[in-house]
Amino acid sequence: MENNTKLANDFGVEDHIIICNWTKKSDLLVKELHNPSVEKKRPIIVITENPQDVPDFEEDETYRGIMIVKGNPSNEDSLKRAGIESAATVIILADERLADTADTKTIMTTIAIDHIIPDIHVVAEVLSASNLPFFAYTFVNEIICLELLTERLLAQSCLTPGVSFIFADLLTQSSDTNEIYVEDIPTHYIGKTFQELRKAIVALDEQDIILIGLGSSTEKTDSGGEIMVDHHGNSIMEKVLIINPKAKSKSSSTKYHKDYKLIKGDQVYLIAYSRPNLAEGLK
Amino acid sequence: MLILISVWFIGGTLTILSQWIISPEVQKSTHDYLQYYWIVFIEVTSGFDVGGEVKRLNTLSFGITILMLIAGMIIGGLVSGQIIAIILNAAQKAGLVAEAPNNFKFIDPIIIFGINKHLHGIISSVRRIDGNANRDIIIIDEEADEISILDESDYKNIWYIKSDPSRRNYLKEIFDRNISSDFKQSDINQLYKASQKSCRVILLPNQKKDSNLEFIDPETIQKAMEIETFKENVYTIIQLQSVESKRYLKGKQIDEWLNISDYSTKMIAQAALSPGITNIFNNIMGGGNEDTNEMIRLSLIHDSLSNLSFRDIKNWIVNDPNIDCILLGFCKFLKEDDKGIERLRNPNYYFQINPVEPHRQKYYRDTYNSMSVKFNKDTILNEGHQNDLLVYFANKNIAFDQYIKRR
Repeated sequence: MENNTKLANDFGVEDHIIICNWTKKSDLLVKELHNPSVEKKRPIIVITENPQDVPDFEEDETYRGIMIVKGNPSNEDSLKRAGIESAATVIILADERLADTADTKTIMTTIAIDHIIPDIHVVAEVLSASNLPFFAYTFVNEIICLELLTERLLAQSCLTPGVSFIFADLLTQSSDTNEIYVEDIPTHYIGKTFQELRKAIVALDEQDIILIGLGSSTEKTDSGGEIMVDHHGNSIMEKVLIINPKAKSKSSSTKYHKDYKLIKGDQVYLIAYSRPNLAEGLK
Repeated sequence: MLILISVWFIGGTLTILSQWIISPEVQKSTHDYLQYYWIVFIEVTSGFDVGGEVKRLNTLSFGITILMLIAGMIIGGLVSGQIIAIILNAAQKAGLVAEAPNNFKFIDPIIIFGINKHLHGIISSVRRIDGNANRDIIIIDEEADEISILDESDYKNIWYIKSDPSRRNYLKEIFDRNISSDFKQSDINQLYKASQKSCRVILLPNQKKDSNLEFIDPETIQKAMEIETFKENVYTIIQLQSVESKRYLKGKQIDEWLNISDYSTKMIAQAALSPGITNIFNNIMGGGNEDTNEMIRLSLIHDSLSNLSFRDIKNWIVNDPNIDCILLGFCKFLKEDDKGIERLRNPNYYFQINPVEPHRQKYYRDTYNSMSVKFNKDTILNEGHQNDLLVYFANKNIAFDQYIKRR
């Protein structure tokens, strides 16, 4: 184990993933991130106060390229030693040793990250929904709240029996299961409608892709419907996500319907067995 | 009370008049006449005949007595109902969930077995996903009488049944007493016709601080198995604490199991691999905008689409711009020959999401020994039966036949 623990300045890696805290779920997390079906396997640096918990990964293929920084992830020095300035993503796992106070450590870690590099992609695991408002003051990009996830999954399984199997399929990273991918619109489909793109994708039998929705940016409005502007007078933009755009109707005021014309910067959400190559397939 | 007094007075007076006019010889004094008020009072308040007195009555008085007995039963029912309503109101005013009425058989309720910190969240999620359905939810636990109402609108039609694990067969007693076995009225049975399932039971693990972590999952599984020993047609969903516990489920008939740690870890990995993905899952798991309510849904395949391949149905849906859904796959009813060793939950059905081309199905099977691609795009649906289901994203359940009729 000692041999695996190196100083950050020895790593010399970039575009890597940092995992803060080593918990029971870290093993599965590493296996998902380094699954053979993942095209670009990024090196992983784990920051933990208990490096002895990390299994001996020498014999395991998925553990290749994993490094450890011993320290508290809410400490800026530990984050810097893990090379946070050049990392692609930081994952903060809830420290299960702290039980109910684990979220406090997660918040402290996000604040430390924000202080060093606020625009890095951060994924945080949060135990209690009551702590979610505190994350509004941080730059965390994605929050997985265990409490909400549990309640929603159980409720959905109850009302749509079998749905947990579908979610398991969509969430499992492997070559023979589906995942959800976010892709840019192929350039030659800019200006065409969502429905046209959908039909073209359905006709792509060889790729087994399902187009489920689109993401776009729109001007943010206040509760009165007025467009919000920043202190320079520019419109504030916000991202919107539309699953299953509907047929255009008089009763709905949304501009994101099936006949919405795709613009540059829009993205599509796809279900596929591996990362689809839309630009190539739709030529 | 006014009705009770009126019925008593009218009934008593009519009996006295009838006895005085038709058979005055039976009564020896005024006191005997006044006794009829007492007899009628007993009949009206209890619904039972006062034994022996009936011999003194003539035919008309006997008829009046019968009417009084019926009135007594009705008034008794009304009074009991009023008392129950007062108790329920009192319980609700005290901010607690009301007890399920004794001997009332609920049809197709959702049963939540056990209490933990997720209970309130599950109730509000069910209400949110289910729209205005307000279906009955019954909570069974030793401490179920202490559940507080957090939100009046979410807690309509929520009932508790206090369990007593020290009594043998206490679960069976509860199900026999309060749950209707008429699975034909159940909406779950309308979807999974071949399974003949009725109410849904969610089994929550006991997450109290003094609970031994090693025994939490076996205890939950044991409860699920216990229910299934006397009630085969319930749809059981259990929440597991540890992924290791899945091994205990081999050969059991538990329909769905959820290990949240497993799901959350995989979601974290997906979020790291595809930034922005959490937002999509959040939306399709019922956490999106209340106006959209976009979720995974299931519908039976209409007769006119029977014997078509998945590919044909998908092309039909995509080419009709008025059908507002994204077809994800299908849920195939398995005949005996089709059943394999795959990771089946509901053993009579198989979920095939994003069916692949036949040659790719062969590739996945040969290369990865895959159990995720049992069927392909050319699989014929509803072949020889009408049990298959379509799986799709939509903001409401779609009756596909309405589009067929229009066409």
